[in-house]
Amino acid sequence: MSVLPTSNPTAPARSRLPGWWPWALGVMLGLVVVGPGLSGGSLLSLDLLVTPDIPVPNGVYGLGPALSQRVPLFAILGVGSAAVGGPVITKVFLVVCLATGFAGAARLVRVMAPAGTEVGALGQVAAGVLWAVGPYALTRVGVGHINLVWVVAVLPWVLPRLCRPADHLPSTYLAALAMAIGGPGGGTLGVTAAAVALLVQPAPRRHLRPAAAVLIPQLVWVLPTAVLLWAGAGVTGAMGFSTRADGVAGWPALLAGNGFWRQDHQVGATGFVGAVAGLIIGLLALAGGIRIVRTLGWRSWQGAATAVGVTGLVLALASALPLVRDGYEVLTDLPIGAPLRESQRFTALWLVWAAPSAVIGAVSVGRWLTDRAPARARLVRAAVAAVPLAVALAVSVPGWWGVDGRLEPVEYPAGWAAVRETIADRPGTVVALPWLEYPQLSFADGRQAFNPMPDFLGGDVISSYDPLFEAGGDHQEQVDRRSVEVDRLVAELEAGQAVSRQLADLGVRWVVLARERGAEDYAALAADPGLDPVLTVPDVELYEVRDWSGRATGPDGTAHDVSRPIPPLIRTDAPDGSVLSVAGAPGWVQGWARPVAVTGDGRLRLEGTGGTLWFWPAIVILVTDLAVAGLGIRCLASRRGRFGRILAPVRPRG
Amino acid sequence: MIRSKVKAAILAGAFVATGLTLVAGTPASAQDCGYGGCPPITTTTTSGGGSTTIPDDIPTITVVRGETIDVDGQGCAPGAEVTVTWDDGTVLGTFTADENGNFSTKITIPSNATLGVHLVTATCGDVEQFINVNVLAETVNNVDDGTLARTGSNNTGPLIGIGAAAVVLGGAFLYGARRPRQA
Repeated sequence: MSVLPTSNPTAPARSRLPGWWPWALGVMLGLVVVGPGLSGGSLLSLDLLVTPDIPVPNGVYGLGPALSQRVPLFAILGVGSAAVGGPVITKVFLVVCLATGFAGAARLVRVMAPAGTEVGALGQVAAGVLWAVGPYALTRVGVGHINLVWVVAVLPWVLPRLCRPADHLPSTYLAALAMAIGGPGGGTLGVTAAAVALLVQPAPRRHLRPAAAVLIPQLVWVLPTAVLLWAGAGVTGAMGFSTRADGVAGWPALLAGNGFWRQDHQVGATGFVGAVAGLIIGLLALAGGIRIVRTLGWRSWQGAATAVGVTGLVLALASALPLVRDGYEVLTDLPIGAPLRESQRFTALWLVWAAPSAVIGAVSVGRWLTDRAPARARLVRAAVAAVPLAVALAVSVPGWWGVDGRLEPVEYPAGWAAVRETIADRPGTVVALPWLEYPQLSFADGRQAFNPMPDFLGGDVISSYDPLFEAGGDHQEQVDRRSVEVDRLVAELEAGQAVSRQLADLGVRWVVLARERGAEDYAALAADPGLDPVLTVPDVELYEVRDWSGRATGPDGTAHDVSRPIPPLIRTDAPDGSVLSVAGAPGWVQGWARPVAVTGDGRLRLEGTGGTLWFWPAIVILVTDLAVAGLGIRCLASRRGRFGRILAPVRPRG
Repeated sequence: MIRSKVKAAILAGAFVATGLTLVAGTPASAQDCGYGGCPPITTTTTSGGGSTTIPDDIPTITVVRGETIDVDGQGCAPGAEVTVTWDDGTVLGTFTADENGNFSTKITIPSNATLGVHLVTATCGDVEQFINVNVLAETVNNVDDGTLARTGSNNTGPLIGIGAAAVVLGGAFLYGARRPRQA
């Protein structure tokens, strides 16, 4: 049995560079990319939502409000945020991920190269740039897909292991766990890579255990996702997430990392330059792939990685090809297919192979040319070997400094902090307006971003989770069904009607209106006699619902206290039949086993006198997480016992 | 309902002239930002008893009287008749959209147009698309408004990338062209 994936058995010429240079260069490039953001302040750009305090997402308990790509990674960031603040932990995270990804790709190209293929430092830099600070990575940094930034850091390190999943199961488990920490984004990529590798390396008797080693770690995100789907979270319209390949230039540009579903957020690899770069990368990667497969065969980990890369490209294209697209949309519209949405993210599987393979291909092409025309061999080889780096720089450099302005730091308006303090002093359910999931924010240079109000304020905030892909009907993608009621109230507000009575009935104490684009639609708030204006400043308006009846309302209308020390645990002294101002969901239990009912408008209703309420799926999730982590620690010890080093996924043979 | 406004804006298509992409106008005030993006902010103007919604961020091109410019657009019904009009109602041309609802043709700026900004409208069915045309005199000499002209590039980013690539390739050529040191 092959103990580990093998690398080039021919020892390369000793480099005069110190071994840590890829890390140093990676950190430098990471700092350049975060660049303007280093000056302080938060970050806001589409899904990049950084508030002064990043909360641990409720998704880690299986609580909503919506399906979360953040689980479990943001639990780690949330803990870090408590120590050093949200902006610092996020920026450090970005720099570390980009540096780790750069060093990983620089290493991957060295171990992937067949015997006798000298990639050199130039080739290592090319692979590192194209992978870690290239168009794909920059675009995902710019839109805040933190889970895929995590993939950028981890994938080049674990790819050899995922491509030989049967060789050493503890190592496979750790590799799959590392990817699973990236949530659905990372987990699906890891599982896909391992599945392709198992198919390429047929050994049916040994498939079950490697498959288990890959799948078990995925429970850290699969279980919370399953609980949220069971509780009623939904997904709407996969069509909007199709890979974009517009025009003749769009298709080849995909090979260089283009194709993000919102072209206005695509960084690098656009237009003619992107198309030419994609063609060159594709051709060189093809040459490299041919060299790899001819020399090492499909059953080597390098051969399996080739299959993984091609599969990644096919999956990325799946939602862009006219006929295939329809079938792909049907699949991704289903809850079970939801993790496969937004197929351009599978470009990661292509690029993690194509970046080193293009470098190997360039060396092979240079050798092929000089074999046929020996004159000026040194010149030709040097020039061809430099092509991958030149191409990588051409498509990457323009986005390096702050990712086209998306990492310009943001200061939240002073009025927002005043609102937060007021609500913290007098807690109660909040409705956040404008009723948009992705408002356009003036204080973020007009950038559109995921509504920061819930995270900024903390506590129980009802906000919209309607991506507005489809018109009419209920398209809230969240478990919290109070939002459907607010949908209706917002329509009445826009029609100029008073809604304070209905807000009180819904258990809402506060209405916050950020004075951003669309705020003029809510002019009726100021005229509503049931709303007391508490704060009116240029940035924001805060209203208190005059008839609010407490965080728990008894059958006779009396107010009762509610405390919630942690999200899946509630204590109250409210009597039987009381309604709590808490988002309802199946799975809440009162006492030992009595289910808590959910009202028609989405709140919890007691069926027995107060006491302790708890969300039982949270226990299952937390126990599973502990088991997965415990198994990981055991695998780590097993791996260290066998190989002596922890970070040694690839060891030269012979 | 708000969401129907967004849908209308997305379906409306665009009108392009001399390389500039223009936004579409619709009979709705599309204000809401979804995950798919933000529609343009619009304002409504009223003339002759009718109400037309015109996007605020219509791009402007600069032309001279009598100049012919290329225009194209999309979002019409297949085979629909497209009428392009000057803001005084003069019809600049009538064309037919292709089977995909796109159109592409040339229009000539009226030779008697007054100087300044004019609105050109392409209409196909219920869809209206707009472009602002800033008409200058035939020749402009010795213009000095006291400010320096902007001299620069609007595509600096790609040029920086191409420049970086050129440096690497140039360096490789230099390295490769060196005569290897004899042992």
